[in-house]
Amino acid sequence: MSFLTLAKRRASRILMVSAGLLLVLGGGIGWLRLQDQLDLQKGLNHFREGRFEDAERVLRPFVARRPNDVEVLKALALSQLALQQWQAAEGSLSRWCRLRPEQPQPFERRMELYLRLGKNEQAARDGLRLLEQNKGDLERCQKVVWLCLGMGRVAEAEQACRLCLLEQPGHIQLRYLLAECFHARGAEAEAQAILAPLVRAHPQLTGALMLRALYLLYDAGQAQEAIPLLRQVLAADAQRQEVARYHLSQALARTGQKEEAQRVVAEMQALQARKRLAGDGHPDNLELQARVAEGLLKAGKSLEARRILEKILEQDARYPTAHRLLASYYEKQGQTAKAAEHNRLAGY
Amino acid sequence: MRDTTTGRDWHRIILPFCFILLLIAGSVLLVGYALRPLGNAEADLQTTAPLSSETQTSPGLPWFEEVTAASGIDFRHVDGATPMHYIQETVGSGLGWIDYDADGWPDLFCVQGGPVQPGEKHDPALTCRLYRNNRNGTFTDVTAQAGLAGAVGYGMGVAVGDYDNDGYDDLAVTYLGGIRLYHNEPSAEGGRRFRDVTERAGLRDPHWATSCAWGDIDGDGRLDLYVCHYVEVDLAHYPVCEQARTGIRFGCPPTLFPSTTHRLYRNNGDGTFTDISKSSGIAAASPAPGLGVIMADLDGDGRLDIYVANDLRPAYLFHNQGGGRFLEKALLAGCGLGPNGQEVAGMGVEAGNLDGSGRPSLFVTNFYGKGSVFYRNQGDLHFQEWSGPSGLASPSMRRLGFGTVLFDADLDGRLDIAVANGHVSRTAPQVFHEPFAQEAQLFLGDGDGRFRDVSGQAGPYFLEPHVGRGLAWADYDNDGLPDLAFSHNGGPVVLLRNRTRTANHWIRLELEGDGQRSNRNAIGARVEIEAGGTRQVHFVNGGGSYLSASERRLLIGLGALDQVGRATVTWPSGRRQVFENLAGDCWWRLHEGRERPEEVMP
Repeated sequence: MSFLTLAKRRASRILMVSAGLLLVLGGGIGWLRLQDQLDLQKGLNHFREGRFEDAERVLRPFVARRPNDVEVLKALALSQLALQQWQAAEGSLSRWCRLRPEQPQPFERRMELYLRLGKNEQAARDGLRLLEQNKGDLERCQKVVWLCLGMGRVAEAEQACRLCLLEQPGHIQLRYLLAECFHARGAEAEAQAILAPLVRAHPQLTGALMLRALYLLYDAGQAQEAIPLLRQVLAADAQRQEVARYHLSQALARTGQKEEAQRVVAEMQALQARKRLAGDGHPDNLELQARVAEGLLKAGKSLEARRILEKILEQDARYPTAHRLLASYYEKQGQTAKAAEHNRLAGY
Repeated sequence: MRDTTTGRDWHRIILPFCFILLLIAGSVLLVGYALRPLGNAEADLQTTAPLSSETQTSPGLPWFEEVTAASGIDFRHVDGATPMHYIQETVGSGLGWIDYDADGWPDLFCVQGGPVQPGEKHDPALTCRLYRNNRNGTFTDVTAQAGLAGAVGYGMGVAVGDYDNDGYDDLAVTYLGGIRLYHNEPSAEGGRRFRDVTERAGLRDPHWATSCAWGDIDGDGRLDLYVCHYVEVDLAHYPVCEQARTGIRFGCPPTLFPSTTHRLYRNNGDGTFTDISKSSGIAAASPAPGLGVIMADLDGDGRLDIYVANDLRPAYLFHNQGGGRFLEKALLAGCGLGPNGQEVAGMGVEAGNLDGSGRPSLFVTNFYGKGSVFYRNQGDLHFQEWSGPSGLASPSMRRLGFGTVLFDADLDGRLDIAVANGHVSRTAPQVFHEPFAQEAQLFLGDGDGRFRDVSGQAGPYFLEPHVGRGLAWADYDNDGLPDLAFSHNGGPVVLLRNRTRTANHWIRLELEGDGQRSNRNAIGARVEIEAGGTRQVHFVNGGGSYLSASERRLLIGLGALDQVGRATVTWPSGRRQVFENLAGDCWWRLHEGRERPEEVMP
């Protein structure tokens, strides 16, 4: 055999072996990829079927390997949200936001998460971004404006408001919100320029009514004129019961109606105490129960107050706040001996 | 032979092939790794800047330099932290400036904590400490010489006042279990020392006392004492406050504990005090967890009123009716609750002419996410909550405020505000996603009730997070610029020297009542300054801040003006005196009843 033939044979053998190896390697890789795809599909199916725990477990390594796969990232982020894995979800959502800055969904989700975590500043930032993308979203606009106002971010609130007004310049809610922004930064003249006609034309707009009342009460020295507006708010707006009562009590006090003012503010305090008790996490919190009773007592609802106080004493016969308030109750009833006894038990 | 040769050749081909494959795979992995985006939340957050940030220093703004180490003040607070996260561990202790030797150089008194459990052994070295001002920027610990080495117990707050009108300031110190009174007396060595006169004075108080304040409530020329009470805690039945999901504990809120009424002690003038809490009307107010107190004449009727910042309960405004009687009026006066009627977690409080009206408005620090409150005094005992328009609400929203002072940091003639911040719960980051240590803040006032946050340009201390609690100002180096001292929960006391570069002028007015009709400290006095067509109104208040005491001398910024044309003093007795043509950049001692002011050389 010539050297050339030998070389050709060897070369062809090498090629065959190489091809075989490549085939094996390719097959292996293909098999692994197939498994990978099957796992991924399994993970995505888990997500679609609402089995978030399984989805999160399967998808997490995929995202680590393929961080730019938006579909997988989205499924992982939403699974983490469903599982209340807030910190991990925040990371996934932020990556999703970065990969798809043009999409509203990741920003919406992240804004909601930030709100839940109390990261209001970041939430407001996402909100403003969303508004820039969609100025016509009135619901979001209001949410962002209130969010910013709640944080004292008046400039950002005004920015959000003006963005939305570009789309709907005559919108009454937005005009009212702009007045809120002016009020929040102390520009009362500008606020009133919007509010006065708004309140005349739309007396059902309780937010605007309230704001007008606050101006009359605190800035214009016209507490008497503020009272009917505040009563109107109180009658029409279930959401503003506490705040309307508070300012009504101020207006009543400034017009010399001290007794009614005290009753109104006590009602507000009872409402607040009930709310706090409901969200306290300590349903057996005797101090908060006593505060509810105190509010009721001052608001003239004595029997209900007494029932609560006696219930407190059933749980802790020495509870000083309850004894003190019962003493106050019996004093009002003219039962001085009982009042003195409770005062003694309260340590007074 | 051939097989062997073939085998050898086989390896020659396979090995490079594998090597090349590995190389390619490695390269792909490396390139992929290099191109992989950052995957953690922190990194994502870092890519976006906060809504507003000021990082550059600006000329002319106040500048504070930390000089604690150089000053020799080496006090470190012990909070007694336990795995139980007792509420007592969270409130910290205060500090007070007191010129105890009356040499004109403010000395510093630091209140010490300790173990919370009563049975636990208290390290005798853990005492409150007094640092004497060496008049050269340094201080010397004189606790033992001053007779204060026995001041042990879990200390809270301090009030400085000359209750016996002898010309030397005394100390009232509050504790987890009551109050102690230290009388300033001559020492055998010719200096000054304190004697614990609590028993003799009749100050019996078993409750958890926090801030306290001196002030003459009945116009008899003697300082009376108001003491705040926080809550009643039964350690044997301490509630568990923990995050349901993780079981992580945190400091329980005061709403879980009963409160007790506060105390008011009338000074009998013979070294004793009488508890007049009931007869004065103080005890008629609904019990509330009090943390900050200030005595100021809020309605300008010449009588000291008492304002108390309560924690998650309406504040108290005890309106002085005369004759030692008070009526609580905060709710209907508009300074009892927050802007929308919500309860304020009131911590520190100050009162001053913040909006140029000439009336004392109130500033109260608040919980994280709530924002400090600013009650603008509209006259006739009516207040308007104005923190939003003032610019104070927004920057204080992401802080949990405690101590606060009103002072003119840059001597421009407008009051500024400093605030010590820090969370109550050391597990706040895990439980509430809120920082435990937080940066202190400095707000520059424009004189009309609006403020600008200049914390980012006020010096390194304001850029670092701390667990701030007490705060008090004094011009300890008598250079005409007000300095600051901060206390920290479980941390050191920090002294900041004001190094503001300014050409602005100042005047220091030290008011001395006659000790007969007015108290010698002149608490309750009102000073009106007229200079170059401008007018400033200042007050000498009792108490203020949080568990802390600032110096009483008035350090008034004059801006470009170097002289005060007229200073009208309304003394606590009601007497009005006018002092004319007082040179600026000077320290003037004004004596009640004496026509001529006395210039003091430090």
